[in-house]
Amino acid sequence: MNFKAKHKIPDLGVGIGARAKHYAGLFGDAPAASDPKATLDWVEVISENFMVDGGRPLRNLERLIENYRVIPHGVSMSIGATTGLDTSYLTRLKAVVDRIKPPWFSDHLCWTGASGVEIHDLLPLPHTKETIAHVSERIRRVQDFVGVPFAVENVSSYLAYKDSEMPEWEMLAEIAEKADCGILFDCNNIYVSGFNHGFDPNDYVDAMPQDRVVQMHLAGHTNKGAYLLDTHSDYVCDPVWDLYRRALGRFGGVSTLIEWDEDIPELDVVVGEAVKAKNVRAQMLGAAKAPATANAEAS
Amino acid sequence: MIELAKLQSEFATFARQNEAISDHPRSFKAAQKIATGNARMTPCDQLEVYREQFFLRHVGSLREDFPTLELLLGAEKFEKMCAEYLAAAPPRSFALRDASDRMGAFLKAAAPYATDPLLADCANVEWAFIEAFDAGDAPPLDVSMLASIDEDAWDRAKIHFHPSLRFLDLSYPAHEFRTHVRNGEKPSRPDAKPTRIVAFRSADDTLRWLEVEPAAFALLKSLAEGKPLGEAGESAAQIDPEVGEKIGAWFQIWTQNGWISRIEIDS
Ligand SMILES: [Fe+2]
Repeated sequence: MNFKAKHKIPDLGVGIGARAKHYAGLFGDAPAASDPKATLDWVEVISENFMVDGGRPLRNLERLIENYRVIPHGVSMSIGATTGLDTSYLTRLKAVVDRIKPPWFSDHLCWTGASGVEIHDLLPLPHTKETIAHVSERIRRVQDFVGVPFAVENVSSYLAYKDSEMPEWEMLAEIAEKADCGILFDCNNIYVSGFNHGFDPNDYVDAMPQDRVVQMHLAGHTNKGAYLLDTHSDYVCDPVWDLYRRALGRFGGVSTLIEWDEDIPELDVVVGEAVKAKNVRAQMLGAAKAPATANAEAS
Repeated sequence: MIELAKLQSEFATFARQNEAISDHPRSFKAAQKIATGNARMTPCDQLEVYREQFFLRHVGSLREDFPTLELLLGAEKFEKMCAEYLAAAPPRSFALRDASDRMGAFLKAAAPYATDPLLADCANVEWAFIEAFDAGDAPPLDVSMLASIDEDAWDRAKIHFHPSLRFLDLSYPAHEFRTHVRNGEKPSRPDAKPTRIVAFRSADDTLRWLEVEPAAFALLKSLAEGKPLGEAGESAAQIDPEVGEKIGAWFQIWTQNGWISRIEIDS
């Protein structure tokens, strides 16, 4: 049985990353022309923002859970680090996941620090057999500990390692296979890295094991001239929409999320991007196929 | 081929150094060894992107956490101070918020900042509120239990405070200065004035502070350290012999503000 069927991973439709600036609009406390509760199928939260002891963050998380289907997405697991897995981090992460009870949770294929120092960035890994063995074993441990299917996301990168032995997509696919985990396929990151390292992003889409892609990300980036920087500070650009179309064609209906983290505009603008994604999905998948709810899928 | 652990350790060191990658012989050499570069970027340029992002991200976070320091130092000196701080107190926690945790201690000890105690006061006030914001929750005191405490048992009473409480012994009223700065004003430097405050999060999740007199402050701190009321009261009485008369009113204020969550009587 394939990964998504085995874990009853639902297609949640289209959502946005819930950010503090938009809470009032998302909760319905402030007016929003886009009617987010009716328009958005789900929201993603940054897990670390809720790995706290108490106070307003936890109250906000409760309200998000009351109003939306919520999926936790982390940025600090450092699954590719060579220091031991941080058990206090994982314990806090598990508490967030247990609170939300999502069908999957995710983080990035990267490392974020070394020798006890945190860089707080999604740092790239060399594409090697060593990385594959190292990361897939750690993902298995994380997945066992948290007790919920994990999806690993491809990151944008600005540096290519001399040591790399294979393209990134080959490494990602093999890690997912060996770890028996899902993939969070970020279309923008593939476009950014494709530009930065001179590969064809279509090859990346074509190399993904369809049955493992549980979620997709769409976002904007910044053109710095010599390279593209993954800033999540803009609209999704046309070539990334094209990649999304190709991905939908290959993977079918997969939960899709709009990320906007810098220069965050009004909620209606971000919801507008979600509506655009819904339209692209409808075109590619057929308008009749409405997203199934998680409960319906799980029953 | 470089072993993954060694590669990460080198990368992490150079990604947070203060000099540009190409300006430093060791990082220049490491970049050539690690990165391929491409037609538009040298290996140094590639590693430099990460170094630049490290500073943008962390200085950005410190700027958000410490607007009072930026106002006092000016933007340029603030950035220089941040770079020195990040070198002296590298981030150790997965939470970016915690990268601010040693700012007060750094400013108190490091030249030239140590000569101006207002800087450390501001850092300590800002950090206290950051901690109070998402500190643990605790139910308010069940006041009906007070009647059940025998008169002579109070000396043995241990007071459990709300986890958000932070006690600040300041040389300047940095908390008032912070309020003005957070309101978007550009207040002038306050005059020195020894001030003791309790920063806390109230039941509606609002961050608040209350100025307390020296003896009440000493009493609160002793109680927070776990000393029983009798012993804590005695040491506070050395500051103010009228503690015995005042303590009832203090308790009322502390309970009204939700500071006390539980009273435990040691048997
Ligand atoms: Fe992403």
